[in-house]
Amino acid sequence: MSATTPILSVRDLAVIYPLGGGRTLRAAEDISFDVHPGEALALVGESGCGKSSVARAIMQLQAHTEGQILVDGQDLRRLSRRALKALRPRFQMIFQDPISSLNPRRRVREILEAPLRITGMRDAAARARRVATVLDLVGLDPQAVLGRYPHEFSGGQCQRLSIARALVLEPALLVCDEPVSALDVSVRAQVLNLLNELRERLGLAMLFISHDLAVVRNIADRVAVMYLGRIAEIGAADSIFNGPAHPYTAALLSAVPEPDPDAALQRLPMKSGEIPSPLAPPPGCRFQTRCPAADDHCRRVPPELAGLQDARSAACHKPFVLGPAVRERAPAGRA
Amino acid sequence: MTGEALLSISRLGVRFPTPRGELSALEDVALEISAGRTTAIVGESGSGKSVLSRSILRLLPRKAILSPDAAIRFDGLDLLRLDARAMQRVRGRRIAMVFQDPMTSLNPVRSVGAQLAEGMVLHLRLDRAEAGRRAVELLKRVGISSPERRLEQFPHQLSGGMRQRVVIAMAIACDPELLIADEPTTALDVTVQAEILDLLRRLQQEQRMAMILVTHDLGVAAGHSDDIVVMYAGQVVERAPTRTLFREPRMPYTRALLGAIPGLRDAPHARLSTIPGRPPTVYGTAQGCRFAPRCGQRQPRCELDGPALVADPTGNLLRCWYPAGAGA
Repeated sequence: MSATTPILSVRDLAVIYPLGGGRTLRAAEDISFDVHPGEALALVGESGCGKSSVARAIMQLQAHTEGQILVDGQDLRRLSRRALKALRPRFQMIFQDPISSLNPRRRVREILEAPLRITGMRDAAARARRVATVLDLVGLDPQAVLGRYPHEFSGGQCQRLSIARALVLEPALLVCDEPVSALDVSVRAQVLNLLNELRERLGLAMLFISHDLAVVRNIADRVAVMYLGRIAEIGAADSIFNGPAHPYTAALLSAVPEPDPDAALQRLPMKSGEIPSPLAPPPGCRFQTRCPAADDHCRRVPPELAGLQDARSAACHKPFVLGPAVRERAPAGRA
Repeated sequence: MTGEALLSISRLGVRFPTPRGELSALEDVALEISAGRTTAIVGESGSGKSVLSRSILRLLPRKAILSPDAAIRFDGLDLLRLDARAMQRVRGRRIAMVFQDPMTSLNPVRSVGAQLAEGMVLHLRLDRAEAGRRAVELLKRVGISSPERRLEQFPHQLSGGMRQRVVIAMAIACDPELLIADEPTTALDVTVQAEILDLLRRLQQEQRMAMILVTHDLGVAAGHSDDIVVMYAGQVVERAPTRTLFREPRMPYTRALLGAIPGLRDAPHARLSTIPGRPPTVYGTAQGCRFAPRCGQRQPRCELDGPALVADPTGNLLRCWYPAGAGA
C-alpha cells in the first residue's frame, strides 16, 4: 500500500471550536494519517471523540483548524478558492441522514446533475449520460427514478442517491460520515455491499466514520480508534481486531453486542462508564480515568502515539495489557 | 416456556386510520411472557414492535383501532377491558416501561429525587422522607455514584448513560412484575450500552421480573434474552428460545436477517446477504404471506394464502408454509 502516493494525507490536524470568552474546545488534536487509492480507513469512536470533526475539517467545512490536509499532495488550506473548487471533485462526502441530505424540492435528475453543472459540464447530453451511468452503478434504474423526488424513496434508496451524487464527479476519495447508522439491518447490508463493491471496482479511497465496530470490520482495511479527540490506536484492521493494543480498543471491542448467544461474554471492566468532558481532559493519558490498567505514570505522562511491531501505532504506556482477554473469545460459530 | 405465563397476548390487531386507508400496524399477534424471563422483541423499523409494547400499557394514540377479539391478559387481569383507574394501578406499578430516549422521558424542570419519589408516593403510599430514602437506595442499585447528591440534580446535569440509569431506577421503584424496555440503549454509546444492558439483566434476575426487551439489534437480543420474538410487517413470524433461534432460524426472514448482520469475526469486506426490496406498508388486508414478495423460498401458495402462526412440537412458534428444517 505504501508504494502508492496517498490521495489524502492528514498531518497534525487540530479542530478547534471557539467557545466565547477566549475559551476554546479542541475537538481533535494531533491527528495524522494517510489514505491510499482503493483503501478504506475507518475512524472509530464514541460520540464526542472528534471523528466527525475530522471528517468535516477534511471537507473544509470547519472554520478553525490547524495542521495540514493534503489531497493529491496539495495542502487544502493554502489553495485559493478557485483552486480548491477545482480540486473538490477529487474528494466528496456522504452523510448520515440520507433523507435530510437531499433537497426535498428537487427531482433526482436535478440533484445528480447539480455537481456537474457547478463544475462546468455544459453539455446536457453528457450530463445525462454521466448521471445514468452513476445510477446504474449504485443499483437504481435511471428510467424509474430520474423524475422523482427524494420523499418517494426509502432511506436505503436515498442513501444510494447520496452515494450517486457523490460519485457523479468521479472522486478519488469518498468521505463517509456514519453512512449506514440510520438504516435498518437488511438495508444496511445492501449499502455496505455497495460501498465495498465501489471501492473495489473504482479503486475508490474511503474515509469511513463510524461508531459501529462490526460495520467497520466489514468495510475497513485500516482502522484509527479515536478517544477524546486523539488517535488511541491506528493500524491494519486485521491486527487491531485480532489483538487490540490499546486498552480502549480492547474495551470497545468487548462491548460490541454480537449476534451470537454463545459469544463468550468477557466484557472488560472499565472504571466508570463516563467519558470525561473534552473541555477538561484528564492529565496524563486521556483514557486513564476509565482504564483498568492505569498507574501513576499513566496519570502523569501523556503517551505518544508510538509504532509497534505490526505496522500499527498505539498511544499507550502499556500496549497489549488487556489484549489477551479479547483474543480468548470463542471462535465464530454463527448459524 | 416454563411455568404459567405472566402476560399473554392473543389475536391482537392494531390499525391506524390514514388518508390512504386503514394502516395495519399489528395483525394477529400472540405472545406469552413468563415470570423471571427476558423476551426480546426484534424487528426492523415499521415491524410493529413498539406499537406492540405500547399496546400492553394502553399507551397507543386514541385513534388506534384494536381488533375486537384482542386480549391482553396480565396475571388474571384483562388489560384491554380495565377501566382507566384500574389501569392506572397497573401502569408504573406492576408493569413499568423504559423508553429509548432518557432525555425526553425525564421532566427537565424537576429534580431527579422528585421524579423518583413520584411513583412511590402515588403507588406505594410512601411519605416524602421514606420515598427519599428509597430513592437513594434505588440510585445505588442502578450504579449511580454519590446518590444523595444526584437527587438534587436535574436531568441536564447528567450524562446520557446516567439519565438512562435514573429512568431505570424509576421503572423498578415499585417492584414491577414486568418491565418493558423499548430500545433502552439505542441512544447510547456502545460501552455505555453494554453497561446498561448488563444492569437491566442483573435487575431482572435479582427481582425475578419478567422483561420485554424491544430492540432492532439482534446482537443486543443475543446476549440479553432468554426468548426471541421476531416481528415482520406487523406480525410475529417466529418465536424460539434465543439459542435455538440463532442456531436454527427457521423462518426465511429470520434467516435472511441473521445473514445481513456484519460480525466482528467475519472476514473483512465479506459480502453480506441482503433482502431485496423493503418491508410492505399494509393498508386494509394483505393477501398471502407478508414476506412473500421478498422471500427466496417463495412458492405459489405463499402469494395467495397467508400462513398462520403455529406451534411446532417443541412449542416454538412459526409463521411460514415452508420453514427451513421441515424436511419438505
